[in-house]
Amino acid sequence: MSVTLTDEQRDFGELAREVLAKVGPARDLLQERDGVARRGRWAQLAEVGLVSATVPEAHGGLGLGARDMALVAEEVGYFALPEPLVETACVAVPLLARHAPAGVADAWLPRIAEGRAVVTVQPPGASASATFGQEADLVIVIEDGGVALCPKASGRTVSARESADVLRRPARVEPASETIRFGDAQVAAEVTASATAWTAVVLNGISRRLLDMSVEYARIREQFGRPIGSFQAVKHMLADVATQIETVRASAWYAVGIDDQDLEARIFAASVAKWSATTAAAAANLNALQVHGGIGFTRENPLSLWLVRGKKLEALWGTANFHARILGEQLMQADDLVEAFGPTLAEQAA
Amino acid sequence: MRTATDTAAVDAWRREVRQWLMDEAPTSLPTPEELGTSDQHRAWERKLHAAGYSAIHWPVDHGGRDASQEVRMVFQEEYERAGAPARINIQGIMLAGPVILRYGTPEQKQRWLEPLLRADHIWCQGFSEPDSGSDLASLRTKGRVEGNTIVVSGQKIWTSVASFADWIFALVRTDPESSRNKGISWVMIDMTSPGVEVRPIHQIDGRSDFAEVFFNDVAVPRANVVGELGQGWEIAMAALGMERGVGRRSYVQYLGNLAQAKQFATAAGLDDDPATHESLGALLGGAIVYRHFANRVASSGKNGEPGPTAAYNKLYWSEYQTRLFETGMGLLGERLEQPADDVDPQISSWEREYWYSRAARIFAGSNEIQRNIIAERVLGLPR
Repeated sequence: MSVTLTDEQRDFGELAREVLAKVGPARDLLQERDGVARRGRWAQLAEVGLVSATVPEAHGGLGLGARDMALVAEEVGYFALPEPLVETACVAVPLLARHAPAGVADAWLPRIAEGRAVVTVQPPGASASATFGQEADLVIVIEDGGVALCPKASGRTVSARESADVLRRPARVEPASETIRFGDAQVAAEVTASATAWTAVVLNGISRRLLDMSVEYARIREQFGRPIGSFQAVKHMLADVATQIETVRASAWYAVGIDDQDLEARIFAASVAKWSATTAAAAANLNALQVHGGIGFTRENPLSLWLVRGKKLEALWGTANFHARILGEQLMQADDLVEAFGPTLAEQAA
Repeated sequence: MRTATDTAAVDAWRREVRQWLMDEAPTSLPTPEELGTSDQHRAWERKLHAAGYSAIHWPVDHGGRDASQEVRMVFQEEYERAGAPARINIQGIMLAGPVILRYGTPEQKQRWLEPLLRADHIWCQGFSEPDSGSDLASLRTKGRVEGNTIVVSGQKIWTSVASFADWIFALVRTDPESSRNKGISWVMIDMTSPGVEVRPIHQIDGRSDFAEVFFNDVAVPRANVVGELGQGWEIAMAALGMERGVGRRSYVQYLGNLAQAKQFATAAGLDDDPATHESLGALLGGAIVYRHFANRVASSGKNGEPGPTAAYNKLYWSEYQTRLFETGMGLLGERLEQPADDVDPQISSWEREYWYSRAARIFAGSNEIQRNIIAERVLGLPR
């Protein structure tokens, strides 16, 4: 399986970049209202096809695949988009299209394609919460035995959570008992793996932005009469971050791109992606603030947006240690590591 | 854009290589140093060449297959999967050969390429000097041009396979007035020439992979210079990019190392220890990350030139290897002090590999040099 992106996929990423640069929050950070998804921005994203991208054509979308969204999702991180575009287009839509009963898919997919439904996903577990859980038109709650659909008017119970990321306020959502449920434990595992892998892609976009901002600042900030970026201590810090980011990106692209493979492979790839993206993001985060010095510690500096968002996403959908343990357990269970994790002929033929 | 035909062709290639290696590759060949001879290794190289597997990335006209980076990656993965012998002529195949192909005259190609592939000529590299490590441009080995002869004197160090190599490609300062990267030439020297002396280096790990090479007024024909006099630096920079690129190692060997580390964990009673799961899991993750990174670089076609990709690659694998072997050392713990009458070769070998991984952070451009390259040439930070 190749991890190269095609020209078309790069073009779509470029489109996302242009749109997000225009509508992203960084320009008017302080004017953003706390934690409220801005309908105007969602409409702009929908207008250029970013929301409907993955919705099947029969349901009014563009019918694009996961690969086509890889760079889009990185840009979502790069521009710190608050709204759950990735949750909606990359996680919820494929889940609904693949596993929801026909009536449910018919009801939601066209609405999503038209930009009239913001969807978010709540991870499994009693303490988990959903980003935008309060405002989303549909919250997909992952349970042990499948997923529960919690539309706004379904009698769902919502308890707001505090978050340092003031633009993406989370809420714990409890489904009403009579709400629509579908799928099984396999489906729950599949959507968890999918959200985990997509979070890794977004995180890599955040890391890239933290690095770019740090490089930019190191070039202009002068101390001792010269740019701090000319000091080798700073250079090596940033070179290490760049190396980590550039080496892990392909693992996240791979993890989201194998949605046609068996569940075990997807779960494994998602753990590799999230472990590696989180490790790189932690280094990018640590060094970005260090390079910025005092100015980076202030909330009015845009850097804070990426520092805080990145730190959140490092913790969500499994920490680095959590995923390392999963990988380690698989390693301990494998009889032959080369057979289990090495190149296979079947995979090349797929 | 990638097509189904490409994928099928790559799969067929993998099957072919896997089958051939299964049939032909010796799986437990000791090193030439341990054997006291390089004959078996030369025979293996000859076999690879006869089957067309010796230097698949070389042009078809010169014994290669014009293989893409992706096809090379597949070969390397399968080579490691088969546990086939370490390639003794890697300096020839990766550096000397490609330099001859790119800068050599027709006569030089005729003279050196075929014997290189047949392993009649094993090549070693003469770049580093005692006072010129990271600062390679300060090198001082002199080449006095006297008519059609260049008289070479000086010293090279950290030369791999020098004890049985037939030829050395050396960077030599042929313009005595020059400094830094000017006036350096790329000179091919027959190791049997009078005045060449090899002294093995006794390493920290008990082995002698590296040697010092002394040149005491060695007379080298002018025809042995590749490119123009003074073009050596340019050629060396191009060659180092080829050396540092992906395709020379794959994640598969790390899976083999991890299988050993897992055995060490089991022997230490740590099968169910969450901290061990975490550290080995991170190493498994790191191996898979290397797989996808290398495949991304290989399939994007941006490889072989000095620059960011090569620097990322070298930095990643060398730091990864040290983490890997260090973790294994921790799992071995007291078992590293082995009973004198019952030495486990696997443990001894692990310890040697650990130390060799430390050398890898220094050689092929120290990791600090790689970081400078990334900071200045990729990120654009001021010098």
